[in-house]
Amino acid sequence: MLQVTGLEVFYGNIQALHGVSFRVAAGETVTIIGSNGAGKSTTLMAIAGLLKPRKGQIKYCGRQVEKLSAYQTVRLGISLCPEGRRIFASLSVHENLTMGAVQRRDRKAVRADIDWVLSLFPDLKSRLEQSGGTLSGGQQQMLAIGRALMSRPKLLILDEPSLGLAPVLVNQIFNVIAALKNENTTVLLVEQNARRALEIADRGYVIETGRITLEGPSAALKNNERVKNAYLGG
Amino acid sequence: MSPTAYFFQQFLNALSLGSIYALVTIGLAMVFSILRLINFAHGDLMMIGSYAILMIWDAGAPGWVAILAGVAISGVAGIIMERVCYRPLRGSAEMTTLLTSFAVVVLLENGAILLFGPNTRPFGILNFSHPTFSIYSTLISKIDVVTVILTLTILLLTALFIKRTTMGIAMRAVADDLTASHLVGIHLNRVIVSAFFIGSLFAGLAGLLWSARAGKIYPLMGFIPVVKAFVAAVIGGFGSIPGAVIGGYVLGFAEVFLIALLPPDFQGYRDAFVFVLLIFILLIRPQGILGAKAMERRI
Repeated sequence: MLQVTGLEVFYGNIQALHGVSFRVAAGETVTIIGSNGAGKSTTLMAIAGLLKPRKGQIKYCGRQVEKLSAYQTVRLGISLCPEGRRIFASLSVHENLTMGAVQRRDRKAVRADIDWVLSLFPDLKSRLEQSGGTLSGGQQQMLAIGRALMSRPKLLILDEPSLGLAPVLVNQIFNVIAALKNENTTVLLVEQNARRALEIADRGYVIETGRITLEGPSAALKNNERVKNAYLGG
Repeated sequence: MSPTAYFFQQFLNALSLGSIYALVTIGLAMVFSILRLINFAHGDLMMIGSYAILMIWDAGAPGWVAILAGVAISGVAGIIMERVCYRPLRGSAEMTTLLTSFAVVVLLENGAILLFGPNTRPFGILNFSHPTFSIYSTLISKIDVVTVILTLTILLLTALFIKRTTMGIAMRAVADDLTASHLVGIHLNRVIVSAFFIGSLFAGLAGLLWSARAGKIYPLMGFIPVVKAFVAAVIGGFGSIPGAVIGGYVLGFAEVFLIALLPPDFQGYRDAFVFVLLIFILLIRPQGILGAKAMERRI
């Protein structure tokens, strides 16, 4: 479904990605793990169309998408839930969800999907009219994921969904990812919580200073000595 | 005239002036909230609209046709302004776009002088044959009544638009978080064009009311209102649309009542008072009445 080949992204003169290649098959859950500054978020932003790569290809469902803008990749079914939530703080929860479906014209289905998102995150149900900025960190993360789901993506990309959350909330978030996985949603997950990420993913990639250095089925990565030492705390 | 009647007369006068300021300021605020661009050429859209109305009217069209067409021309002029002057500079520093807006002012005002001549022209539309009527010995001018009713209707519609429609919510979303609005799939150019179009329609309408009030138009007529709108935006909190409305009315009332209460000798200092007010607000509450967020570079 997604095939990234030789991706190179620069911030000014600083090269952030040195030829990143990986793929995600339809229905798969794939994780990219790596330390801060390794290039995880940069990779995701390039896929979503927020950054234009200088070199390399991003093929999605048989199309070249590396030159497209974000609103075009959303139209094609790619949805990125960004790091740091980035919910619309002055908009209500309901308006945030509406904006997640901003390109959709099927109003009835959008309404049904709001109910579906609320069933995934019941905490949000009683706060529909509350503004996003007044939610707790965990609720904001739920709203961010819910908003990303509102475009009914074929490929859901999650950037650090559990960052800074209490363990209970981390569980809740991962339960929802598991549920989406069971519904056959294709998920690309970037996580600093490598243990949880490898538990839920089918396959994984390790990214270091802008390069993919390891790849394989999650089970194999979990038992890899280098991964164990660097990302799973020995 | 009784003091009460005098007060009501001034009250309506202030309400009417404040309405025009509010209309102009909304456009300034809408564009600013999305692009962080202070478009000083916004006032010249009032001028373009007024000249368009006058020319269409002079050509023999009925008044209401001239008004609708002129306001529409002002809206289209705003879209062209964005496309030609500001879109190529998307992503550049705020200072660059601010200076560009001054360049657009120079271009449009001198263009108008070349095209229409430097002289004032009488503006006869909405110039009622009985310009005033009286209720309980209070003299009420019809243009003030028209201004207030029209503006309040538009404010109500704008509030509904911002609150309820997808485009209105998208405008607030872009103002909130640009990156996130890209990510959810908001087509930024459409939002920007809509903001310019709506703001410019309001500028055209404000131009009509301003010109009808003054009874004349001239190429540089947009300068004072846009500077006043800038002050109103600062009062209300730059970028906030409710703030723009509040700022517009506060400014209208401050101006009218300062003049009404001060001795006649001071009347010439009307605009000076406005700028003293601006300096005070910048000193005491630079974020304005409703403003909270610090100005930062976006887009």
